[in-house]
Amino acid sequence: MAGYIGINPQLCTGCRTCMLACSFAFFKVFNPSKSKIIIEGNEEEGTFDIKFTFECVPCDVCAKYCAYDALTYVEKE
Amino acid sequence: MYGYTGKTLVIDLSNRKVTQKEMSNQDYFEYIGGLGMNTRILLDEMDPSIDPLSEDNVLCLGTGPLVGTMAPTANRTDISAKSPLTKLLGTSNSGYSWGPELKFCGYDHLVIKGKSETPVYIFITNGEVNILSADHLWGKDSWDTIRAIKNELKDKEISVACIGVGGERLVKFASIENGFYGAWGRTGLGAVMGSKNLKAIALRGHGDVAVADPEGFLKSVDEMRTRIMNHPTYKPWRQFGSMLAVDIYYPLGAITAYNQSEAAGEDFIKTMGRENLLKYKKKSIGCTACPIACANWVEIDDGPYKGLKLKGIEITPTMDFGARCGIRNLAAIAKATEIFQKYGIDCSTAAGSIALAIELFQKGIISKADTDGLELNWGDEPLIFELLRRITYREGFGDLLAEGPVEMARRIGKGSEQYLTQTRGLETNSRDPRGRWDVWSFGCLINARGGDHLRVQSPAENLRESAPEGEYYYEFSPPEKVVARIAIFDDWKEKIFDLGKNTVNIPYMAAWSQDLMNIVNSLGTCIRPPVLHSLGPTIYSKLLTALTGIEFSPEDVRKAGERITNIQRIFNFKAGEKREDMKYSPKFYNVPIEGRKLDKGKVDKVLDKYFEVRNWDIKTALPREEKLRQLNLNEFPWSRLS
Repeated sequence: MAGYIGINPQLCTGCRTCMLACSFAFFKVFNPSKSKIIIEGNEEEGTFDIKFTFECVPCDVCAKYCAYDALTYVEKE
Repeated sequence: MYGYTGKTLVIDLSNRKVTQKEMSNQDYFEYIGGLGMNTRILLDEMDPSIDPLSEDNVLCLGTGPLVGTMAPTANRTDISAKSPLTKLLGTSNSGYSWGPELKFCGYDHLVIKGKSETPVYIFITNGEVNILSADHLWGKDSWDTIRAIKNELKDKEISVACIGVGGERLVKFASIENGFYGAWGRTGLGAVMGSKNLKAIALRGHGDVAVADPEGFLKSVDEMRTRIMNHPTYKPWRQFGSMLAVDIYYPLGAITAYNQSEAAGEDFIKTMGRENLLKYKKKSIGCTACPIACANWVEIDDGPYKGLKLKGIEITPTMDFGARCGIRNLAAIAKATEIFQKYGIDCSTAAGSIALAIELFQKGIISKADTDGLELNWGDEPLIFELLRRITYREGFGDLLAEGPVEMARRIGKGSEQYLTQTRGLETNSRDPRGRWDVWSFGCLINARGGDHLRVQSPAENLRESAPEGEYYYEFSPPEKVVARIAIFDDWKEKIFDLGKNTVNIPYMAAWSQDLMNIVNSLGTCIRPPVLHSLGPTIYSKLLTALTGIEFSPEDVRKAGERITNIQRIFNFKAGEKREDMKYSPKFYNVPIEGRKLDKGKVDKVLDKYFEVRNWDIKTALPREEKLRQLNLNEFPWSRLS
């Protein structure tokens, strides 16, 4: 797919569904440590960082399963 | 194995022996996981009549098969043991990340036996089990404990379940904290952990949760997600979280104040209603795999609690410290949340003890001579926070409150048991049964863990109108179009609903609801209305079959829920609970709220009908032989009931 993932960490709730969906899409197992998107939380502050590994080849799986609009798939023009 | 890891880790703290137990497909088929499997393990491993704070008690921490997957809300862990508070089956359920992490560590269940001679904590990572000294953690509050463990193990992504000082001091309603802001709060399981000298269980796993039929599973996940996110309660739950319900229960007359002595007044709803939350709420926080994110991140920017920020302000502490203890300031509920989370005590029973103490003081049954010189008044925030501290450290008058309201009343005497608002040892205060009689309030009599509201909730409630006073068999049903789409089997719908009369049969609906919630608490999913009201055994059977490769029919799933109800009753019977113990506290029968009080004779008749629905003996409330055989329960040593 030609596009990229737009991120808005302010809207991230820390549910990590994106990480589960990513590992499932690529490996057919659930395992956050195999995910190409990484959500790092600061539980005490209620904040979350959104990062991607170098292996991420933007598809829309993580954005498709983000219920909070913290991730959106943007088509390249 | 698919879905399940197939492994239960057993740690005996008396001799530090660590073993693994392999579970069979038949075990999973019959008990699903989580709560169901926990209860089965407890019956296999312990005698329910033991002293709950002795080393003979067994602490069972169980995830469900869906936990660790992206099935919406599949993040929950049920912790079970004999309760030191109720002396019944202790069980409490919590979400966030601990359960998924246990699965990624390679285990479905963790069973803790025995007692360590010295304080320890357990660190499990990828199949490696470490039992480490907790000498340096003993005495720390839960937040400092979590910080210290993450620092010394050099990994901030570790998930920690721990006790605070409340658990160490064996407060009978101590909680097990789940990260900074969650808890397995009810039934005093933190005291069981404390009695074993176990301060914390820390997890970090990198293993897979495998899926038998990936395509089929994803299809069912998408269906589940669509149903949840399209349910009418979804958006309001996102906006307000559980505080949504405060403004729904109030006009029903179901919220009662001052140790449940009178209907909550306008002062309550004006100061504690859900709109007040929006002043402090900054964002939503979600547990793992949850599309709802019902938790409120709040920041207090004025008044005496300025600067406080945390995940908090939920309906439960708002009822506990607001309605029940008289606080009329939502920011103070955030402060109370910080205190009880750090100390590691259950907010509901802590507030139960405090509210009883205040009422007894106000009535002159106890005096300053009993309270260390403290004057006990409703809504006195500094006093309530100081009592939480004294309870936690069992200091002076707090030592009595730390025993919980039922034991407090027994020790104080002088008729104080007449002021109790506990049912079978637990607070019945979220919706007062005198203000609103329905499946929810009847459920407090049959809930396996004691009389709170969280294990028997109807998936088809009509919260706009209540049944007329004196009606005990029925509540009003939702509109016909809602009944049509609700995920209840057609043959059960026929027994439950009378659409001509617009009614719900309470005994039948209570049985369906109880079994359904057992299923949910065994799968590891959530009971919030967008989930509970939109899903049922049919979709759960599809998810289970695709995930595990074990063929589950919708009836198999329902029957597992029923089986779990039956073994919970067996546990409680063997722990000593008799049919005549299944009653509300005297206050609900004797003290009217706006003219309404419960009629014990009529309540007992509904209970008898419920036992008939269950095929249980009416006199003993025990499953008949035929029922045990139907559920494949008749050949266990623990299922001999005579």
